[in-house]
Amino acid sequence: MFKKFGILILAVLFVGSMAWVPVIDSVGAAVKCDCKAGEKGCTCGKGCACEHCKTGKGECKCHAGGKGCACGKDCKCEHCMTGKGECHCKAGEKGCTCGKGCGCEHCRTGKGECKCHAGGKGCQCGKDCKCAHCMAGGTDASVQKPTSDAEYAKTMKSKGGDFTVAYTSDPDAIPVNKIISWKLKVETADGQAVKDAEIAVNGDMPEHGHGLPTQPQVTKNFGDGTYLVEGIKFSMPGWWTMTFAVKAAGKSDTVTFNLQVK
Amino acid sequence: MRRNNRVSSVWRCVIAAILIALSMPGLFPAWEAAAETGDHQEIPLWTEEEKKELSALSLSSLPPLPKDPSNKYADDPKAIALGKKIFFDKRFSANGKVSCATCHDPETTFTDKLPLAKGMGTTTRRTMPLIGTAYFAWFFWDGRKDSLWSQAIGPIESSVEHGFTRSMCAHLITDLYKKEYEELFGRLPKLDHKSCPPKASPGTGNPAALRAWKAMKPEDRVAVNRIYANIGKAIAAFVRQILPAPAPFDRYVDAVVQNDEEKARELMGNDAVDGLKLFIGKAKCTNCHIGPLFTNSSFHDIGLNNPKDNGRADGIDKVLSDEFNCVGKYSDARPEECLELRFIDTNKAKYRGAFKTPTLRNVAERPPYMHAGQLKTLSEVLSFYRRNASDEFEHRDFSDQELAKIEAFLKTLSGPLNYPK
Repeated sequence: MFKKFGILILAVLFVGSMAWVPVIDSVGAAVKCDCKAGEKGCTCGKGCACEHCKTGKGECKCHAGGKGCACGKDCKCEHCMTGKGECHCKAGEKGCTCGKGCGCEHCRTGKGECKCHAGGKGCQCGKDCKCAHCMAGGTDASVQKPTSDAEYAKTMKSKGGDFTVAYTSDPDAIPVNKIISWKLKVETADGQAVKDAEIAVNGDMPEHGHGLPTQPQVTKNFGDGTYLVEGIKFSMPGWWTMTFAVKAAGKSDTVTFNLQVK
Repeated sequence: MRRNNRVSSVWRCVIAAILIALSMPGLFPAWEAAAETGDHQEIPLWTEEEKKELSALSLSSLPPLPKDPSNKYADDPKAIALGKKIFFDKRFSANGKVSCATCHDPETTFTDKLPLAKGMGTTTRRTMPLIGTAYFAWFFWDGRKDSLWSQAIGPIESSVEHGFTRSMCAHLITDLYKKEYEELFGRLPKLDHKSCPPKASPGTGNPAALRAWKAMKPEDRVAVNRIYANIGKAIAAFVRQILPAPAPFDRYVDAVVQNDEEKARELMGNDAVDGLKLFIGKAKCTNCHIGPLFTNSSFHDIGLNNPKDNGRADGIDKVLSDEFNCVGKYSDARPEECLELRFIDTNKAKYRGAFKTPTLRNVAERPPYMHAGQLKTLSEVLSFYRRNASDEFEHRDFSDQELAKIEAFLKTLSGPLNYPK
């Protein structure tokens, strides 16, 4: 009898636990999913790290395919990407032409606006498309969402390895929605201070397709390889990138910092 | 012996069952989740991280009034008193019927509940709420002003608002408020109707007024502008005191932080609490509606597609060329203090159709919504956000029930307003 009772408990708990699993998904426990365009059954709950499916309703971004860019049945295609140009245009929009070296992310109907990501020099949108911002780095690894603490470091090597750049923020704890300043320390690869750098600043929120609400600038060269950057403002909490294009002694390189603004 | 064996096998089964149950990830969270949505709803257990997020939204996190370096009278009690009088004074209008309070009525939380503001005529935008404006960087829906004092004088010369002129303002101050004005700002210049024609202004769009303004001596124009700016500084001193007092939401957060579940339960219903969870979680409303005033004071195109209004894209040049901006001669700030203007984002393409994120304090009290009153109710607003997706939000997977819960939460942001009475 006791044995039967034990088996009963076993059965109840086992069946119960199986039945609860979908509930866990729907309440958004830390489920990880790895959905790609067009995949069936692509359900992304809260806490889901899926990049290509935005909601549980089977929406997806389409890669390649150009015309007739079709995702799976339950998938409404929002964006088409053409070949290597990395151009996301909303389907069927007028005047939205994405060229070869185009980093155009969105063309909006009627307004002819597009936001440009990546592409660097080749960042060109179509005729009727005014490019809102171009970012160095772009679709390469530097704008992939960081997965390790090391990628949030305050000292980074530039992309080509020419410079090492470190920043300190004033205030140290980065606030949302307040203008702050950073001090940059720029060194050559072998640790020499870079005293005469020209530095351009660009902040971006890659997941949102917009940049900073301000245009920060280097306003002071302290003469010892450190520089003051004023006018930095993060308008939202979340993952931001700060990219500095450094020109010195005939070398040009960019360095990108990742930061989590809370 | 046999019996012992039987018992131990029973317990082995029970223990195995428990171990299997425990090994199923999330089983117990699922129980908690079920308890939350069941009949006997418990106050959800906010995580420590969530409690921090809630505290950051509560009024107890609102810092003291920030200084306005462009207005050295901003916290002067005499300026507050004078500003309050002018705010309610209908004589500062062409027909004697329009004051600041016409649209910013204290009885209706300093708005008018109209889709488009009505003064002498009808404007193209909705009256903005005046709650906590001292904390903002930009003013009007398009941010064409960079200080509260400069904002305050804008409507006076608008033909559809006060329909007045700055030269008439100078005369009215001399006639009506000489003593109070001079106590604050020093002696008024001598201006008569010849040196300062009543209908002279560069800002009304009226060609005759512009001609009359240009015919004035440069020093008289500066004197009039100075008075006009000072009127703005007095009004701003009053308006910056209009602040939210704790609403049920703020008291709820206080109770949550103090782990006073019973009190928390009294302050916010289950739907509102669920709505709050959605607001800071799945719906990501706090991407823009952040901080104790529930706004980032920035500009966003949420997809309203108003072809008649470019919003912030047009506001950028206006604020840069405004003689009453932070770096202008009527500002009390040193140029290096004008951080927002110095580092303004001038990318117009980015801001076409973008409008300022309004505060959500008392939002339920002041329909209709959006920059031109396009949406009549909160429920329409939430449905709009579900229907329209942009780069910054994606809300298509929200149920009607979830939207209703967010609405229930938004209602808990209504509270009394404090201002000098």
